[in-house]
Amino acid sequence: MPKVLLVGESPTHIQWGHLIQTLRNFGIEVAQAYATSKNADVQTPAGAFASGSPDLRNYFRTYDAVFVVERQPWIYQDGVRAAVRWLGWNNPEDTPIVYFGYNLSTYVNEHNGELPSGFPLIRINPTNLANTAALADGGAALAYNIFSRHGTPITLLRENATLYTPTVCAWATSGGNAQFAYWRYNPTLHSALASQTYTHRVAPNERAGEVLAVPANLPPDGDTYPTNTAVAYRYYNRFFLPAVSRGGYQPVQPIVPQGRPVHDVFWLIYALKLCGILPAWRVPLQFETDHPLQLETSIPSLTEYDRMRIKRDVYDWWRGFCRQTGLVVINGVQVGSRDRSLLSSFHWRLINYPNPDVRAVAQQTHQILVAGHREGTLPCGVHDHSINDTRGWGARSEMPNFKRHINPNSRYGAPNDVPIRHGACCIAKHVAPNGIPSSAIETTIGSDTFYEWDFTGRTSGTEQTINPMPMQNIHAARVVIESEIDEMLAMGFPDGHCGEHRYTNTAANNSGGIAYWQAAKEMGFRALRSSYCVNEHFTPSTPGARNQTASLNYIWEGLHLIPHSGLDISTTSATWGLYDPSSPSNGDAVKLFELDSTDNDITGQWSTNRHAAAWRAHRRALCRLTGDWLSINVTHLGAAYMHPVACWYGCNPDTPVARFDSENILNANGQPHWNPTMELMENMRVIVRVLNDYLQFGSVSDLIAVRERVMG
Amino acid sequence: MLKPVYDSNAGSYVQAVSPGTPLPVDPQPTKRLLVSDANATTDADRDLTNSTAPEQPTLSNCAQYHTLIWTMFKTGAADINYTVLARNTDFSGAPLGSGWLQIATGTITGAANTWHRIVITEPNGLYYDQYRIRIQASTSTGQRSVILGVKR
Repeated sequence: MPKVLLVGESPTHIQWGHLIQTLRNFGIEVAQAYATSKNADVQTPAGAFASGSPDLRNYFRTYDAVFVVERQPWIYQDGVRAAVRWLGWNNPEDTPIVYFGYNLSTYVNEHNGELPSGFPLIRINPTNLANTAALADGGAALAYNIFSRHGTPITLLRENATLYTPTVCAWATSGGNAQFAYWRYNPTLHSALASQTYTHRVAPNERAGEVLAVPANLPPDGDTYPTNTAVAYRYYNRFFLPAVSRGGYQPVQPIVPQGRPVHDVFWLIYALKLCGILPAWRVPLQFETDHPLQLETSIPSLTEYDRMRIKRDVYDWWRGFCRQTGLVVINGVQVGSRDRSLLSSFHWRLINYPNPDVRAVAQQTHQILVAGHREGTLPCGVHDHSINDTRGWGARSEMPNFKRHINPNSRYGAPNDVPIRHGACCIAKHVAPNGIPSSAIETTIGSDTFYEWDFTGRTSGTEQTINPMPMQNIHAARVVIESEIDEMLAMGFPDGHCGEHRYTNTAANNSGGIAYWQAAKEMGFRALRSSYCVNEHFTPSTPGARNQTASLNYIWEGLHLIPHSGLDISTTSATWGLYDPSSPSNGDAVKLFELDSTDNDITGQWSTNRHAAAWRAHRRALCRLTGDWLSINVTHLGAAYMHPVACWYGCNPDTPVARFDSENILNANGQPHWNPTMELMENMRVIVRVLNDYLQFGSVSDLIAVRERVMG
Repeated sequence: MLKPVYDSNAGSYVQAVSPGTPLPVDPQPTKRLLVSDANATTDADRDLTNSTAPEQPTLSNCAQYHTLIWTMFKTGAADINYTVLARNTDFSGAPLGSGWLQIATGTITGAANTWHRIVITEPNGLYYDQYRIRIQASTSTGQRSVILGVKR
């Protein structure tokens, strides 16, 4: 098993838990070390070593790579300063070292006199940024946190690949609004290194210096970079790469996606590739949608017909993408409107919609989903917002006037009279005495089996409507889930659990708690998407609020609870697209993601130079979405998901799967067309090609297989 | 080193047993033994499972438990008197004799919709095979109980 040593400035400055978890997700063994200053001993699992000592050099050789993880901005004189003394250990047997976002600022006094004379990267001088740094985004000051709103596309020179991913080599401050920069190099020194013969396993071109990545400068948005800009650089067997895990310290919660702190995880994986460290397996990328058919409104001129045909055409394209790549897109179909809710936005209602034109397109979309489910590209599962005030499984202690399915041939449908509560008396099977009533039934929940009896007043009766319906016990959960699957079958799906994947993305991410987990297992599920508060809602006074939580490893009795991250570009009922001055708060990507700079380099130029401003918005949004997907998938082994209505209504309804082209393709409101899902998929296609030994498009089942290897 | 075997039915890996990966043991120091939603009535013989047969155990095969922790949510206002009886059995599971040893008794007081906790234990642990747990009130009084068995 490959071994990597992470080195930081302190035991708490970095998201160590997340970095370690990410590397372990690839089957890579990880150890941690730190050094608080240039002269301080390096604390390692094998003890303390003097920072520039031969013993430390030999110790490093027991690892396949050493990753120096920095988190200091250029205004500080701190950082992993001991690592500056390791730049000259360049023999073939020396372990490669990667410096992530290393603070080379002139403010770091301890670097003075330590850098080798031929070292080509220019130390950033905070008082002379114009000549020492390659400021990103035209020097814009952008909102800075774990998401980092910068967005320059990068060209990887070895792979000749251009991609969008969060990329920062140096930064001004640790919070608020900040300028970001890439490194600049001394052309003369680099030229000398690039022509100097050098032998090491991580130098395939057998030269001592190599520019690995540069800003792509693709979009015509006015951003230019000096010709001596380097986003990534190899100096002998030392790599200078953009930063990872800049979010600072948070309590270690290895699986819970608290803030996606490894938003820039691409560079961590790319570092493995540069060091020649192969993973034990590839981590699959998978994706999900909630509510594939929905009919919310946003842009007034976007008709119901337009809204529906956008979905049809995008799913049709997406199905083809899945066939090409192996990606499996899970879809949570809103059920419940046949038997319960009459909301027009639910799946059943839309394929039976009164308007024949809209209904026809809805049915076409539905057929794409059914066919995609059967062929494995677009598996669909139950997703029920019709219960518990839309909050889904287990989110209330009881629900008034619950309507179940009518199906005498089913186990729990009307008119069958079935338990809806536990019996008045329940005794664990292993301590049950002889003599309990013969009417007792045996129930198993997880590893507990018990007898229960005396169901007087605790059954459904024969009617469809149950008032009130208790919603947090195994019997009720069986009724609820069976009613949902019954509706899926009635709509032509062969099952309600995404076929062989035996999974669904639960409504409101409420997997419901133990009763629903048990009932779901009984009905074929082996995994559910779930919040940590598994039946949370936002009204703590409501009975049932936050009353159950997932175990820390998100596995209950073999049932996987998959953590999640939403990739919607708006939090309004439907989106207005990339940016639209008419949209409400959080109604488009620029507003929701806070993509504007402090100088309003998007919104302030929208009326005067929309072409460039839109490109700027596009690349910042795409970098953020890419980092979000990679982080939740690779670091947390979780699910990225989006809602079509919250992502696609900024598309041109005639060409919803056209690539972004700023002014040249406009949407229904006359704003630049943008399909974030399609852009994200195509960008990830490039990333998977670059990192094809590490990542692959796959399914939630592939992801679960990795979880089981990692979590045991 | 033996590799784990994938069990497609269980959807997980079967880990090979070795000194480093021993067979799993039950990590739970407690077990939920009983959940009751039965009313206490004026009948002094009624137990938590509504049984009024004097020889009928409420719980059986309990010799592994050191302590019983009884949590009650009393939905009625009247006081509830309780009596905990215990006994042991032979190797065949037959009680050594009829009747019971009383190990605890008391009264649960308080308004309706209040929580109560009773710890049933003895200095050297309970370790009885069978228990009969009776509840009685001056008028029919609702209660919901959970009894956890605690191992040591």
